[in-house]
Amino acid sequence: MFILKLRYFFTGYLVISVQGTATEKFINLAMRQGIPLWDLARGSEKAVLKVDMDSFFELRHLAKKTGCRLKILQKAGLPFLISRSLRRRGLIIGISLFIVSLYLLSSLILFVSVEGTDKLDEKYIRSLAGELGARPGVWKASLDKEDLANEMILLEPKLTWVGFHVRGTRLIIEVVEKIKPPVENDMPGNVVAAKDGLVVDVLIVMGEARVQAGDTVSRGQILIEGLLVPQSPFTDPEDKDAPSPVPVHARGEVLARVWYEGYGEANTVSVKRNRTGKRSIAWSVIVDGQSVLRVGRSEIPYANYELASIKRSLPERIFRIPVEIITEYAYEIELEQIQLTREQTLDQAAERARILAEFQLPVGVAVESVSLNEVETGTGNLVGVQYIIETLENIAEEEDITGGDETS
Amino acid sequence: MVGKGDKKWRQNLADLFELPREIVLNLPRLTVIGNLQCYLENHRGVIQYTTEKVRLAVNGGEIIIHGENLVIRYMANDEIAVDGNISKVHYEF
Repeated sequence: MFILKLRYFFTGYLVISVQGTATEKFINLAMRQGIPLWDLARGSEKAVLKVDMDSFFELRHLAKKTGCRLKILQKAGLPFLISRSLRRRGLIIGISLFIVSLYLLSSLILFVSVEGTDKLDEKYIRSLAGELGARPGVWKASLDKEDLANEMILLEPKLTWVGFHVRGTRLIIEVVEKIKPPVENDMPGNVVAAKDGLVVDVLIVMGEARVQAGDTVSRGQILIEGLLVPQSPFTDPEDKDAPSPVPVHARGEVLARVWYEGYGEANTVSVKRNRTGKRSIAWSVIVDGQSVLRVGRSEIPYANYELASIKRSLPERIFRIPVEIITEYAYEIELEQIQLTREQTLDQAAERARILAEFQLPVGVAVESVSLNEVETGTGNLVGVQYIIETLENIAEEEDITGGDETS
Repeated sequence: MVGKGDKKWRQNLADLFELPREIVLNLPRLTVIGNLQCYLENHRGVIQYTTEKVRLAVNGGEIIIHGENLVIRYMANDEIAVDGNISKVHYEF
C-alpha cells in the first residue's frame, strides 16, 4: 500500500469530491473497472477520495452514468509540485546559480599538494609550480600536465621526475629527487673482523694480511692493514733507505668459522593450563581514552583465570568517533601437573635453545654443523641444553672511518 | 451460487488437503487490527458507505462495520481496507 502511494506521488494524483445519491454505486463501478481509489472519506452529502491522474478521465465517464458530480479539490504529487515550483522564478534562478557555481568551482584548482620531497622544500616546489602557472585558482582544463612537468625538470636540476595529476580540486605534484651515487671510498683504511671467529682462509685484494689461517680473531681486530710495502728482491729489510710503506684502502675477504650459541631450559614437571569453560564478562565504555562506564562483574570469582579483552570501536566514516567498547573475558582455568620423561624434557630445552641460536644467525649463511651439549643446572627438575651452530662466513668488514669529509 | 451438496463436498476437500477455506469455499477473509483497521479480502462491493457505517457485500451476505470517522483507506477489485474508530463488525447472512 505504501509502495502504491509512493508510486502515485511520483505520477501525480487528484483529490476529488463525488456528489450525488448513488456514490456507492459509483465506487463499486470504479472498483469493477480496476480503477484504484484510496482514502475515501465521507463528508456530508459527498465523498472525498483520491485517484491517480490517468484514471480520472474514466471516472468522469462513470460519473455521468451514475448521475454523480465530480469536482477536483486538489492536484497533488510530484508533477504538480514541479509545475508549481517552476512558476517561482527566484527559486529556479537560485537552483541554477547553485549548480553553475558548483560546476565552476569544481573545475578550478583550489589546492596544490606536493608528494615525494626529501631534501627539497615543499614550499619551494609549490612556488616553482606557481611560476609555471600551476597555482590555486587556475582552470583544470588549462593545465598542460606533461608540458608543466618537463618545464619543471628543466628549471630545477635536482629533480629527476615530476608528475602532475588532479584529484578533484586538488593538484598533486609528485616529485622524485636526484640521488647521487655514492663515491667509491679511496681513503686509506683497514679491514677489520665483524665477528669473533676462527680464520680459515684469507684472500687479499689490496693491503697487507695481519692474520692467517688457524688464527682466532675477535671482533674489531685488524685483518688486513691498509699498507702497501714495496718489495723487491734487491732491498734489504734492514736498509734505512728502503721506500716507506704507502697507505692504501685495504680490501679483501676473510673466511672464518663462526659459532652461534643458544641456551634453553626445561622442567621435568610442567603445568598445563586448561580452561574449564566458565567465564565472566565485563564491558567498559571508553570515551576519548577515559573509562566512562563499566558493566559486569567487577571481581573475578575464580582462583585461577586468564584474561582476554576485545576492543571494538565504531567504524570511521567521515570522522572518528572516539568511543570504544572493551569486552573483558575472564576464563576460569584448571592447573594440571604433567610429569615429563627425561627425553621429552631434553627435547623441549633443545627446542628453546635452537630458537635462540637461530635467531642470531644472519640471513643467507650456510650452516656447517650443529652440536648439542647438556648443561648441569644444579636444580633437580631443571634440564639445560646448549645449542651451537657453526657456520663458515666472510667476516671481513671495511673499517668505518669517520674522518669528517663526507662526500655527498 | 454454490449448491448445498457442492458446498459440503468442497468443505471436505478443504479439510482433507488442508487448503485455505476462504479460497476453496470462496468466502471473505476479514482481518481486524485492534479497533483501528478492518481489512477484507474477497468482497463483492460497497453497499452503503457513511462515516458511521460501512456495509460491504460478500459472497452470500454482507459484513457491516460500525464505528466513527470511517474512511476507506484503500480499495481494489477484491480487497478493501477500512480505517477509523471501529466499534462493531457483524455479519448478515
